[in-house]
Amino acid sequence: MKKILVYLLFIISYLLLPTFVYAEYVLPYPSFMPGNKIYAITRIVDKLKNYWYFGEIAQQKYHLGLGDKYLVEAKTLFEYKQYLLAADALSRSDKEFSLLQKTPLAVEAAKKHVEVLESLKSTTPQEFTWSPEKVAASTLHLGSMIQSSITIRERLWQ
Amino acid sequence: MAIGIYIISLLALGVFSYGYIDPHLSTILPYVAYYHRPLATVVFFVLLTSLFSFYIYFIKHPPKIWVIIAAAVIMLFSYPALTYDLFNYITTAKVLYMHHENPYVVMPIEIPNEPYLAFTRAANKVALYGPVWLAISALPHFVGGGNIWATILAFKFMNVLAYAGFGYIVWKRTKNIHNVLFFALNPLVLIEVIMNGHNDIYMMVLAIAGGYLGLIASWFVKGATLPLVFVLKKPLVWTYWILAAVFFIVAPIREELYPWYAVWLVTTASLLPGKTNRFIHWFTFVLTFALELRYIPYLWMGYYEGPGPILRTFLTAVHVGVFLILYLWKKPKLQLFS
Repeated sequence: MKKILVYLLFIISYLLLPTFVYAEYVLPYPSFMPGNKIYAITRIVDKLKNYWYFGEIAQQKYHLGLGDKYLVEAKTLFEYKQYLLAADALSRSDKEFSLLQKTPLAVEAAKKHVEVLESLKSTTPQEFTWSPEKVAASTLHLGSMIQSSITIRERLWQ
Repeated sequence: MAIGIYIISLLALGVFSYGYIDPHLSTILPYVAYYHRPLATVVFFVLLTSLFSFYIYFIKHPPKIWVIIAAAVIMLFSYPALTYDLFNYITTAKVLYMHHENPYVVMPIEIPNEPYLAFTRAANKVALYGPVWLAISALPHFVGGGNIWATILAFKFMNVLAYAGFGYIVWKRTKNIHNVLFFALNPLVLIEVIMNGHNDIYMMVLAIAGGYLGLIASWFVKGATLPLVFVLKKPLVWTYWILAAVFFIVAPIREELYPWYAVWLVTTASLLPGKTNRFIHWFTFVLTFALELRYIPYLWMGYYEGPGPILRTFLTAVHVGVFLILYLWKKPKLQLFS
């Protein structure tokens, strides 16, 4: 009898108590990466999509989509220590993100981006010297670059 | 006498339709039918039966042309009671032409403070129809001038023009008034095309009368005519059966058998000679009646879910099933028209 009551209580509380479902902001999977032959085509498609996404709200979606896409691209490249390409992808993501207006979705996205960037900051060297053949070496200030990306996103909710 | 009762039935349906007026559109005309559902269901069934009975009668005893005009005018001024699709068309056009947003990217619900959201049901979907339909919908959108009632009327008036256009096509092709009446007085056509304002008629006008280019354009209203590309050179009866296949196979997979999809079949059947297509004409007649009955569970219950889908399937399947058994068993020689 006691067992039945416990089960009943469990079932009733399950049915009556409100449950909360929260869908976290999800970043896309990385698509074709720089170096892939199709990558150049995807960049052209990205540019052409700008015409399809006409209108103020659609433009927000467009810039947010590309901002996400290039961030994921940068993250993957940073993880594979392809710093030059990663820095380029991150700067493109920053450019798209700086075009966003303050909307609840954009703020949510910005927080997710910062989460990713913070984790990158801890695993990426502050500076990296890029020495290609036949060309003078250049230094990439990765730490400050990531920090500046974080600042761009934080502006959206501050 | 028959014409008088027919016109009264149509007028009654027109008045009845206002019983379902959305409370966000009018506070003067209440949502009467919604609060007296069993009575409203009976009234709808009686009116539907009356209209289908006179439909058969008028096919056999053609009335004067003004009866068709009167039917169209009465349905034009009725309220789109049985679906909310017309409001979806209106709001989608507004997203494009007033808010200048791409309706294939932006959903109406994403437009802040959009007042039409109060009576738009598919506000959480991007545009459901092709760019040709969006282009067509520009005209009533601008004619409506931002007034919802004027816009509803403009959309419906454009449907009347398409309806009249198709009636003319039937006459030009068949030179038979029975064929014209088979299309023009079919209660499903009157209810779905003019009263509810569905856009299927544009797809059919383009596919049937527009040649190759028209057929291609029809794909960009709704995609149902896409397989017709395989039967372009075949007799028209092929078109009927191809559309029937889309109707009975593809439509239920996609969502369900919506009554207005039968406009595809009525329009095609109306171009076929009565003598050699007895089965098609009777089948279309029974099917259209059985499809309009699908509104009954909603009218009775006030919602679409629960036992609604099973009841809707039952109401259609029983009528069509009984017809098929009787027709195949008795093999009647009775023609709907010659």
